[in-house]
Amino acid sequence: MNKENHSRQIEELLKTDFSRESDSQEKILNQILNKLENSRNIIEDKKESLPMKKIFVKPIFTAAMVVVLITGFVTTSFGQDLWRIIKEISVGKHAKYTVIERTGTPDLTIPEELKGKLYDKSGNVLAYFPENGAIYNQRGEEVLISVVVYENEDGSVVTKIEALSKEEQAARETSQMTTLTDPESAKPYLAFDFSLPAYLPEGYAFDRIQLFNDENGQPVENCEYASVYFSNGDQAKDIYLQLRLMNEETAYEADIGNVDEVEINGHKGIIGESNLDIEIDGVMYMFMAGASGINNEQLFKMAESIR
Amino acid sequence: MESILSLRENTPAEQKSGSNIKTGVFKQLYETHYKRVYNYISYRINNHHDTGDLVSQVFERVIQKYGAYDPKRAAFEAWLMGIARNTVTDYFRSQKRNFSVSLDYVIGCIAGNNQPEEVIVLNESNKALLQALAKLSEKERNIVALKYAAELKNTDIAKMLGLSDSNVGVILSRSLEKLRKELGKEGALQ
Repeated sequence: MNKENHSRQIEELLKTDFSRESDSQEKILNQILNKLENSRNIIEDKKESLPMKKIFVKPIFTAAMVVVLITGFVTTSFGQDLWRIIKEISVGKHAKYTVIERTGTPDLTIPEELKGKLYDKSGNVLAYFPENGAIYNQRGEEVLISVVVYENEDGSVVTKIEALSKEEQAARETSQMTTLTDPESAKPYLAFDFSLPAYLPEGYAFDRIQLFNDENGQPVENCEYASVYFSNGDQAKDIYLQLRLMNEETAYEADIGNVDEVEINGHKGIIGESNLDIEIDGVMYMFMAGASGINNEQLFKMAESIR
Repeated sequence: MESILSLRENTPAEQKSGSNIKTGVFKQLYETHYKRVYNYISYRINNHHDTGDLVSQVFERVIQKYGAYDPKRAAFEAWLMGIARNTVTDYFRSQKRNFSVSLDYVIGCIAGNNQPEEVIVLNESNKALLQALAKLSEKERNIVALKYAAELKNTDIAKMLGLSDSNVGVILSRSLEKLRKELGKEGALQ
């Protein structure tokens, strides 16, 4: 067997041009151009409405917020009589915040996918979400309820609701995300540039930045999202900052409690309960104080120090 | 007047910078890069029937994202192949969601054993090459596709995948050795 000869043959074989076996080059080009023509017409038709393809809801940290969010979804579909929208704030073209007021008793029934899986502190199965207080799994671990609502290509709205313990949440993040300790090293993977706050509350420092992985476990190229954590050494008290390149694909509508408009260094944003979101050069900086105990004034100072 | 291509409304920044792609420029990019995109996808997926759709998706994404392309950060070829790679990744994800198909079935399809009317006719050596590629790991197959089908340099592949140049070289030579063994078994080498 002639190994060198074989290697040469393989190199030749690897130059195979499969595109020559298909006569689709012209056909595909025409399809794309036609599609563009049609989509231009669709855009003209829809120009009046705010383009919101994916509805995004932030991760939830407290049981009280869970209730607000879950019932908030009910509002959007069939619970209009229970809630009234009292305020709507748009930040830029692709982010909308809705503030609602309760006008009736909300339906706190636990959705089908979580039925029998949620418990109170004493280990009793919950039939309803508690208005206040923590929720536990069968093993007695406190869980965070995460709800993501998104729109399918066919326009149908899908709600995905999960209850994950802190460990499960962390394990999922680690397996699906790459963690880097140098913010600069994340930039080549991102579709946008960003700056981090020069001001941080006392005791806090930049800790890590996380990027979404593709199926090979490598960070997704040209990614539109990144998660930054500032820590004082106690991870439970991390300040979370999501960076999100805003466009039609990443657009969201959020219900995160009462929020007010804010303007920092000429950039528009919102400030809420331990939340501050601000859009700078097309990138949404979403600060969440979580359980850090950091107040809005300090979040404001952090946002203000982004240059 | 030449029309401007866009799949969505422009962001204010794009309106300001006028960064949308013109039809003429797009057609030229398409002509220049069609072959490598087509071949890269052919090397990656086991279903030739879907190749055309994925090629189309890649170029649609190019139109959508063209405004975000920064020549200072990456060569156009590397940026384009990053999009092709993500498109293939999304394709695999949707395949997994919908159903799973055994590799043997897939190879059978490529070899023309199933539904021959839907399979593009491949000559014997191409068939053998695709069968051998299917034996590589996804990582190896991706790197071989980026090197030979997409014609990227090792440095660009390394940057794209977050590997070192030498690591890419090692994986390539290991993959070629695997291909040599497979193709030898198939009797495709003389």
